Amino acid sequence: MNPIQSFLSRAFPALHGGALAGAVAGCVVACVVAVLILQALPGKARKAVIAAVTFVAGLFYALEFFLPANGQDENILTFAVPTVGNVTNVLGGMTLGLGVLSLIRIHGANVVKVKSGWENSALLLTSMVVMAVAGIKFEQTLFYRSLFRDVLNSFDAAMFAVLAFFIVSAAYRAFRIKSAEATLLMVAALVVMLGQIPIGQYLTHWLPVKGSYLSLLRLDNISNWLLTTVNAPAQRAIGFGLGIGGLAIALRIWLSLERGAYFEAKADES
Amino acid sequence: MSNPGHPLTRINRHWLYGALLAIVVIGLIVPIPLPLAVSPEATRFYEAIESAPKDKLVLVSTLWSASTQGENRPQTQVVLKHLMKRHIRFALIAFGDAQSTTLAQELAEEQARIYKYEYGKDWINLGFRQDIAGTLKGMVRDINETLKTDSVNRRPLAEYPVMAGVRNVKDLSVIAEFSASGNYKSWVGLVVGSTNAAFCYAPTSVMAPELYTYLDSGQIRGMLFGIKGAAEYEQLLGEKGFTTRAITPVSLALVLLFVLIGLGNYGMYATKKMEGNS
Repeated sequence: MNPIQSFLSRAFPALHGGALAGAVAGCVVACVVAVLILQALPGKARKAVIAAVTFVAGLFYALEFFLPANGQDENILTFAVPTVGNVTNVLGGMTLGLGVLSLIRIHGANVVKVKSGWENSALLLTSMVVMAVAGIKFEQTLFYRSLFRDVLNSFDAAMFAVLAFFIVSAAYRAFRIKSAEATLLMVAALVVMLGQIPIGQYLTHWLPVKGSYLSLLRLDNISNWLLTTVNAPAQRAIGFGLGIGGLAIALRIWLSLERGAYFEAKADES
Repeated sequence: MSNPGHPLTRINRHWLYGALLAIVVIGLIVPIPLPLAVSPEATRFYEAIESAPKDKLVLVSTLWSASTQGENRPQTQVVLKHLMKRHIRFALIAFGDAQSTTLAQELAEEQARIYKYEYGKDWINLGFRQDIAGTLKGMVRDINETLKTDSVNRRPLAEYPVMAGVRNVKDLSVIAEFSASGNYKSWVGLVVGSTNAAFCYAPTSVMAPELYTYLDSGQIRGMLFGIKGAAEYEQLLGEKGFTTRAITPVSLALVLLFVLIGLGNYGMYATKKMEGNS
């Protein structure tokens, strides 16, 4: 056990029963107080606090990655990785709560003010409450299973299945061969898709699978060549660009340099 | 008066919808018994499971909901079937979409009844986690400490025989992800370098072309290319179930797509010709 781990174990011993419940309640109260203090602070001070917390939070993973590891592939911070992972999951859960609050605020106002389409808002809120209660209180019952399997899943699958019809219609209307590039795209798409399906593969099934130059003419082999030799480098190039862009954005967010509606503008308002 | 164009450029969309519906229904009722060439990626996925030692745990990660279950469910099903046939113990985990954990649980229960798999002894559900990066970082160090309890009985993982000898991702033989999303980047970035376990991926068809670069580098051992990959896997298992039958409507729908693109383009050239003549 390293010094940080040993200090944390002494400062925060494992709690059970009433003590654990008390500690959880204390944490909730402390969080509420922290949010209230944050709200009361002037914009610039609030921004500084948020920037500092963001930096320290991001610093954990950076340090854990860069600090030299011992023979067991661990360093002084590695012990805390599972706990920090759980904290990020809790934070992720809180964003769900934010979404729910936002839905209640917007659609609740629609219902109360009887705005146009308020019936849809009422149905949305009712469905949300019924599904939440069913999931929390009646998870092992037919009621929940029926709502989940017969209603939610069916709607979800149906919504996605409709896409196939739109794709067919859009391909017929929009896929026009008007240039050399469009022709190349069309031919490549045709070969790749034919090479993926039995009907397409059947067209050249009489050619040898391998061991002969004729095998290069099999549709499944041409399709595979296009995917592995033409598509893969292009994907790699796109991925490389995305990676660099992602790193730049991550650094800007970590160092609180990012500007925009969710960052600078809010702090300047108050 | 403007030229309304060749009739082939003006096919009512309802006819297109009707044609697609008819082809899918007919394809499901009357499958065309054509052979399907098994891709090298699917073969490598199969071989990873086939060569997995029986005393090690396989991690099955799912990120799919009802929307992509047409492709992801058969993929998950054939691999679970293979694991159970070989009597390899496995753990389910879900990221990204909360529906995923329930759908995978239902599928595993269905297969477990057939192959007499016992929950807790032969398989376990580690549940749903919102944040994949934080969770994977934790699992690289300690799975029990990161995930703590299962999602069915909410009991500590250490109490289950299926988790015996499993401390972190180094103790896994295969990691198989079934996904409608780009989760593979997190797995490749955070886990693959820390374990010798084979990482296999089963995405939807639309996602699959992205993965060839990782297949090329060997970071992803094998892949199932949408429902076609599932049908190939079923073929490798020596079975002909629903997945194999479902390839017929997929094939026919793609042929319809080519025909319609051809008609649309012929209509465009015919219209240009009409305009040139008038």
